[in-house]
Amino acid sequence: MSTSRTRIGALWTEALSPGAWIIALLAIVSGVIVVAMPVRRAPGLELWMFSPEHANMYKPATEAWQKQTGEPVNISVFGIPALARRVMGGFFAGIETADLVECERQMVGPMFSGPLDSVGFVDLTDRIKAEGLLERINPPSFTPWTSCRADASACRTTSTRCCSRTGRTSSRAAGIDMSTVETWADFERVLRPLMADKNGDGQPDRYLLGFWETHMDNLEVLLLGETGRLFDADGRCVMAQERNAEIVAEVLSWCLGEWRFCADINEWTNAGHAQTIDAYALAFLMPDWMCGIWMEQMPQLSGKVKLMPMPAFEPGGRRTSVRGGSMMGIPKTARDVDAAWAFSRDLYLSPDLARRLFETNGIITPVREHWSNPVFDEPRPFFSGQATGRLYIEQAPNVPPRPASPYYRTALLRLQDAAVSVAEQARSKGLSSPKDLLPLARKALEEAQASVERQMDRNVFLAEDGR
Amino acid sequence: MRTATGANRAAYLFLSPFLLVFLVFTVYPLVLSAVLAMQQTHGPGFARFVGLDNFVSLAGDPLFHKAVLNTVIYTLGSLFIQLPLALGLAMLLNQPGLKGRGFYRLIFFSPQLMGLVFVAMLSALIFEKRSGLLNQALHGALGAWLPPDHAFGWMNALKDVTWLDFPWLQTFVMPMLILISLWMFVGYNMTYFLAALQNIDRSLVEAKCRRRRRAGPSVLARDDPVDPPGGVVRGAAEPDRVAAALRTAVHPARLHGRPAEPRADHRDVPLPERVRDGRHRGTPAPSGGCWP
Repeated sequence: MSTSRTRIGALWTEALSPGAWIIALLAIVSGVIVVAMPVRRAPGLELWMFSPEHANMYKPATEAWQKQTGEPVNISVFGIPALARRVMGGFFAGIETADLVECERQMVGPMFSGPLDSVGFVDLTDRIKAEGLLERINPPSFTPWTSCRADASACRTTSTRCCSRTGRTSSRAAGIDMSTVETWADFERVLRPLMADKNGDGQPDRYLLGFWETHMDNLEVLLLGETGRLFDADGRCVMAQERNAEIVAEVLSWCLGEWRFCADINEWTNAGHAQTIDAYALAFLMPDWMCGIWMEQMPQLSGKVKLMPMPAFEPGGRRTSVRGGSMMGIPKTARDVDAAWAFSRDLYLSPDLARRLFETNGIITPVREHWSNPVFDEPRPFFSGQATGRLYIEQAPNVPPRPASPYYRTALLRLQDAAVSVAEQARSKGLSSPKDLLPLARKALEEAQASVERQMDRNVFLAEDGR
Repeated sequence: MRTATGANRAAYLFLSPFLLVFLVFTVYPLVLSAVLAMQQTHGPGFARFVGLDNFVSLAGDPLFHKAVLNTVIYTLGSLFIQLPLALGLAMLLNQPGLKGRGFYRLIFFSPQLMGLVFVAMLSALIFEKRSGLLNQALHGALGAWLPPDHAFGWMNALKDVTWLDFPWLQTFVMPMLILISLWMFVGYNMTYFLAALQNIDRSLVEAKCRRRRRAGPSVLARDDPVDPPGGVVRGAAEPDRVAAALRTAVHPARLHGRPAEPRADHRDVPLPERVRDGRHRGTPAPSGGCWP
């Protein structure tokens, strides 16, 4: 008996080592537990989002919702890539994700690039139309989410208008009147005297604008601020159109040669913030949401800056543009689509949230009926007593629309590649005038458009839709 | 006949665990990969057969070519700079009588202990425009001075750029990546080489030393064999022995973090016998050596 036991024991140890047996045992036990235990979701609505600032602002609304319905709203905040992966994973596998997902504009492209059936969000077009939201919300805030393939899947964006921040102290000390600035040519002419070389290193001590060819988002801002665009209303890529090439050549000339007036300042790093505080560049392109970031991260600038409408490329041109944006989507797997819709509608249309969005983050609500709220007329100490809310609202109707396309981010990346390529070639050839840069810009944008079209053309799912 | 069939069955029965695992975890994924390569998908639920279109598209995509080129440059840059430098450092640290060997080894190896995120942040702090330590140092040392036109062809594109704004991480990002990986991994590779060098049989080193002494300063140019006692070690055989030493040192070092232990039966065997019968491989490493 004992011999057979010994034999069995020897067989066990010969088959696998003790460590391997422990691992196998753990695998079996944990597998049984996972299979046996049902997934219990917390009661109420599940809201996934990418912005902790937004999450804080939504808390009063979630508390009000809980009082009203008795159901909580559970908020989870993820980084943008993590959120995108979770949502896409859920859509691909057809499993539950959340009842509501707040997405950043640049992460949604892949969610709409497959067959229409694969779009994991509920089509909200009928609800939006039935409740008259198209009239209540500023139209440019809807366009990035209103696909020519799948209609609206969302009900809000944080529409952003771009203004320029200028160093108030510097310009006032130099006796410069910024109200005379209407175009970028005016901007350069009026502010150029501030580009002095006091430390004698042969280079100006400060520059006029924080912008560089590698700043993809600001490149888009300037392009859209003029009549440039990346896609037409039918979703076709039109990057290589002549006006785009002219704008790219013009704005790159600001970064090249001995007459350059732009500086490469990172908007998101400590080093970039230090340069901003030191006024290494005097002006920046400022979407409304950036106001909140500046107030929080660079309080030293309080009372030293002012906003002005973005200069136009031509007299009488558009004095604003658009950057960023977010949307609230309801996944098809939501447990209660009606409740999710009711909560997101109450949230985004809430006058209280509109006020807090502005007070905390500087964001202007796209709900037009709230624009008469006196909070937008209050002077802001950080911006030298300006009523910045009214300034942005005055520009809001002129915000350029951005057509929705699953390939919008691809196009933006190719635009950046084109700009970098033109700048590199120009530097190696010693070119810097817009006229010299134009042929290079044309060629680079044609290549960029061809690259995007190649991606779009080989998407069999778009072809099946007849796109 | 029956017996033969029974034997076949038994053979297949014993083979079946391997075959099952092989089919499920090797053959099936391979076949599925080949199928997937000829499909366009949007998650597992939506797939369309596109034949060789994925390959054709990739071959015609300039970005793919650029990515391949960048990978080749990075790999060559890493290999041809990193490995010789690691070997050189290992040989320096293997010098007999070197004081503080452990300290230097720690210094060279320590970048490996840092997370990639910290390395990226550190690199940004060093190479960033304006506030980067390197540009600040260059600006402090050179001021407004720049090389004259055409002194360095690659600098002509940067004529209007001061040292403070020198775009290390923009225009020169590939050399910077190679440099950063060099900093990170040269110490790591050095430990392998060092382990191998320290595991080379003392008798070989001694033989080499004797050979050098006998042959005089021109030994490096000679290929004639100068045999040590035992008559086996020849110049032409050296690479093979180094490779063997590497093999014996690297695998234990990987597994246990230390060179191979000497085999007990080698310790007391006289050198000529050990060399003659080839048992010298795996014998203890000298602490230093007369390394040429």
